[in-house]
Amino acid sequence: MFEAKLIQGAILKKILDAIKDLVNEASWDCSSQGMSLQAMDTSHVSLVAVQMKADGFDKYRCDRSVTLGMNLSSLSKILKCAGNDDTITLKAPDDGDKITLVFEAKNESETSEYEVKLMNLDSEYLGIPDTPYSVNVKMPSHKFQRICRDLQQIGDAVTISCAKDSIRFAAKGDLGSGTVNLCQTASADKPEDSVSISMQEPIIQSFALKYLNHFAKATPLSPQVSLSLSPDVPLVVEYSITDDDGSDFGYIRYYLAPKIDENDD
Amino acid sequence: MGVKGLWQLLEPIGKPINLESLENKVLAVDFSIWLNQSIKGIRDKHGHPVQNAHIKGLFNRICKLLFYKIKPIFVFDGGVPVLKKQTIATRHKRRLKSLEDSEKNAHKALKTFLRSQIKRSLGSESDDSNLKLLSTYRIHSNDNVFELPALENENEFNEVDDQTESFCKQVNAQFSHLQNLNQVDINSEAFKSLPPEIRHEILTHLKEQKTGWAKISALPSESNEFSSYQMSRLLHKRKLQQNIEVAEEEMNDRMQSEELFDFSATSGIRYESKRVMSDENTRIIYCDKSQNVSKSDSKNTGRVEVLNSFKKCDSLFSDVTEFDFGKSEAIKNENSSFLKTASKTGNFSPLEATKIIKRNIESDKKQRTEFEIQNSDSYLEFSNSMNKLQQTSQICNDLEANIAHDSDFDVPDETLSTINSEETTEAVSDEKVNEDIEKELIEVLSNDSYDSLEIVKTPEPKSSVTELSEESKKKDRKGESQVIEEKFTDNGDIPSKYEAAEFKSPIKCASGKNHQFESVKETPEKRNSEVFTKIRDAAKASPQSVKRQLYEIEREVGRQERHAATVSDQMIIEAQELLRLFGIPFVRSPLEAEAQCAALENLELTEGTITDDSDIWLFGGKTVYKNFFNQSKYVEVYNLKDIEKDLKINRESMVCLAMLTGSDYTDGIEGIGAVTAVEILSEFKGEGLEPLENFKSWWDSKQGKDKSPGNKTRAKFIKFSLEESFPNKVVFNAYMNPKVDDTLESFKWGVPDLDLLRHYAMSKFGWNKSKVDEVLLPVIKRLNEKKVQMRISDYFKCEARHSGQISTSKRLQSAFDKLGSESSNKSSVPRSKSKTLAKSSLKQKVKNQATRNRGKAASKVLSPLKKVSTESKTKAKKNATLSEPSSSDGED
Repeated sequence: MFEAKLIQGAILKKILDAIKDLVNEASWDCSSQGMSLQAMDTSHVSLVAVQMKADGFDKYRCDRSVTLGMNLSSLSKILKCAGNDDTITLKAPDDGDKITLVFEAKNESETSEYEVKLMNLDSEYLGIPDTPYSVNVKMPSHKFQRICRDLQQIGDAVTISCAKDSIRFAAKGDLGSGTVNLCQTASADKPEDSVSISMQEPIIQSFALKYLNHFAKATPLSPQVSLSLSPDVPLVVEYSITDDDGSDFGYIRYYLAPKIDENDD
Repeated sequence: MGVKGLWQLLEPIGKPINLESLENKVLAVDFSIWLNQSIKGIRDKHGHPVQNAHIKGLFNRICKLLFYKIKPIFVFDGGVPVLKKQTIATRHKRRLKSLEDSEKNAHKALKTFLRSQIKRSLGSESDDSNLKLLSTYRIHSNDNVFELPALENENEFNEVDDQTESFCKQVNAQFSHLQNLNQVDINSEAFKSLPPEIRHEILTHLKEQKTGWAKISALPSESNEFSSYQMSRLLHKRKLQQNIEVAEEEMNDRMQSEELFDFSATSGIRYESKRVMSDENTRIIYCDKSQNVSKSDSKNTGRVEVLNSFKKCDSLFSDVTEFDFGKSEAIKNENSSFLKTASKTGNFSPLEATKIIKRNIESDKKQRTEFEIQNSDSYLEFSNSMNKLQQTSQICNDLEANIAHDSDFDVPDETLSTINSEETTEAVSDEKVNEDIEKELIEVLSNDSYDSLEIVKTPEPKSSVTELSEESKKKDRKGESQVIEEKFTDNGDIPSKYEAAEFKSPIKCASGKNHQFESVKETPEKRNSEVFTKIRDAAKASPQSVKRQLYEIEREVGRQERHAATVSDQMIIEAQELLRLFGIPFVRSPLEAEAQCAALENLELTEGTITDDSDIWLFGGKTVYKNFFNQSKYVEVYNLKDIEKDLKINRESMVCLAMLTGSDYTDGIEGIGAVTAVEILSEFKGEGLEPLENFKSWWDSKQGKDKSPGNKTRAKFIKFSLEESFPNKVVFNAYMNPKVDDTLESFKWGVPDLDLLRHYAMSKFGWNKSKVDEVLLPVIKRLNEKKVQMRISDYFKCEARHSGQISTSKRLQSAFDKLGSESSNKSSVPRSKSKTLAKSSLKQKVKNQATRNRGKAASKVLSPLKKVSTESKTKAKKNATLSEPSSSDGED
């Protein structure tokens, strides 16, 4: 039996919004530690990893590890039926082929119950090596979202370069080119608006903007986004998920394979 | 093509993939069926084949490949292996035979139908219970009572003396129809050929009858089926209604046809119409339009013209026959006392028309040929336009029927005299008449099919025709057509000889035109019935529906033209030229393209193959991309590893499977499909060809008196008939060691030459610059992108894999399970598995005397009916049981 109750149901809704366009079908791995998901998009260029810690739930019970494969757009559709203030409870009996979602409205006696069919999915679990990155950038997530959106008007790919205490996003296309420069700021009073860059070595790498724009859909989850880059390693875009009261709930991490010059291989 | 049923087995393995993930992959492209696909698949909005379809198709597909940055290597077919040739030949033979059979059966069915109709019309007089309905029916069919279907007019002849009695009989005859209405198949050809009045009658009755009590007994017993029952009834009703409407329309049109004929006569085409002296009801119309045929200068415009004149003539033809009908009807109205004559002509005219048609098609053909030769400058032009003519055989038929009327002009005496003589003979005795008419109809049918065959074949004896027509030019018209007619009947045998010769000739003709005959020839059998109905329809159809019909015919012609097109060497050369322009490397396989694709992958020159041909697996393909150019389906990737892991079948078992179900190299065994084949393979295990050898020896042992199969699965294997040579090692080796080019030279991709490609597309496809750029520029832009998108899998390695369940049928699943249990059954016998599995694994474990006894015991239990205890029987039994353990010997 698996059961998880989340008073802030909106978090789950936001998570689904952040992944459903990238991955259509995926399996949730539920264990006593929490719920996690790892999936690649169909073209195998990007990977998304979601982690929701058991502590973050208001009630969490997982007798034995279960894999809940499901169509994420279906799940997202059903979550649309839940209000932002609703409490969401996930229930899955052992050996069942359905997962039950119960939505309870705040301060009201209304509850609704939905069921989603589970699927037996063909999935691969990729091992992600824990490597130190040459560059770590923390920036406001809405800023990142805007940069990605703007640059997609210019071209398909963005070149991210980092030197000293500034990061530069550049795109080139038929109509011209565009660059956005961000410098490190230190605004102590507003930590979520600050840009912080820690750099071991300078780097320059290109990525497909299409995917970055998919990643930016996680913006509502967190005020800050962290980008980690290293040569010849996928870019990591991480949004940490926090509760209303500020406690750590988990993260959503995106990995994006770079575009490299043809001569390199 | 490919192995029968193999894709169906592999289906659960296929995974849909995103084309973007194929970026930078080196893939072999099996070109072998592309040309055929493009030629037959691409058509314009009228259904006609598109010129240069083969390169156009290739052009688009190359653009698709390059857009996804795939590095393709095109693999062309070389020669055709002997085995494949054999299989194709036997298949062709079988198809011809089955066609013949079906034709025979159709004739038989028609015969019996006619016979039953005639019998019924004669014998239903005594049926008293019909009287009540009879009176109502009489009221209903007041106007139509004199109008009889062609099948029943014989009644008339035998009752010349007593008109009232004959009248009664007619009604009875028609009534007998009603009696068996429920048996009448309203979709059948025979039904459609009935006069519209009769059809209308039958249909209305059918419709009314349906509302009666009859439906209570038809109600389904299962309540769940009720809605589907309702649905089917609704559909049926609608069909009836539609048929009624058609019949009504036709009835109306007949009345108007006379005026319409006048109208069409003023439409600008020059006509000459004359009455046949001996027959007041038949008119002959000469249409000048056919002269246009001879004036064709270039083959293209010529074709258009010919087609146009065909169309016009076609419509004219229907007018002509309409006219016939109208005439006879009018006379009938005026003169109802002349019941006999009127109904005779009324019914006889379609028959007559077809007869005239049939008789004159030959002579007419010669005339047309003559026109052609007189006016066209070159022989080639002549043959080209002739070819086109042949392909439009549908229209041809109609036209010929029309022109037959024209040429009737030239030789009226002969035709009419024969008709007259036939008429008189028909009137001799009613028994005889019955037979005669029956024969006549069948003759018309068969002759029609023969005609369409002839039409197709005429181009072959070209030389004789040319000679003939030149020589006959000097003679006067009448004599000429007669001479030709005679000669033509002699030519009857020649086409068949030509056919045989044509078939063997290699595809070497520069223009490729000749080969159109080959394929055209193959289709006429199918078209016979169509042609027949078309002629009938054309005779009956109203001018209003002519337009619609024309459209349909045009579509049909387009379809057939496409089918007639075949691949020539020229096309392959053109395709290769285009590949050079794109800078794409290509290989020509010594024999089969699929084998070469597989070899390239095994030599690690490619990372997979794009093909829809399941033969690739038998030649050793490892990664196959299916449905690549199928817009309606996802591109799927199949991996040999997955097949081996999930389905437990490897390349050798797939070859064995092919030998059971049938493939390009072997016909397989009749009655064995993919599922049964897997069951056989799971029952008789082994390496390489062993499963089949074991199967054969087991089967041989079961062909004696001992029929006990041993287990339930094997029970159905006995009934198959295996050839002595089965399993054929040659086939097995042909798959396992195909002749391929195994040079390790790596491939290089050039840059597409944009200017040359632009020029090429503009000149070959007639595209304008913007259209070319629309297609080419995105591709070039993609190719110019120097950045390569990497994949996540290039960086992170897969740690754990969870494969989803494969959904197959129960039978297949148990067979796969059994195949998979081969390795595991040594350690333990799975208890949960099916009984048969346990039994067979037990058998493998203890293969000694004990098994033998067991088998014996089992066979005794299974066949209690065959308790004949003769000595020979027990001997046979012993042999059988002995061979079983020996068959499982090879497994471990």
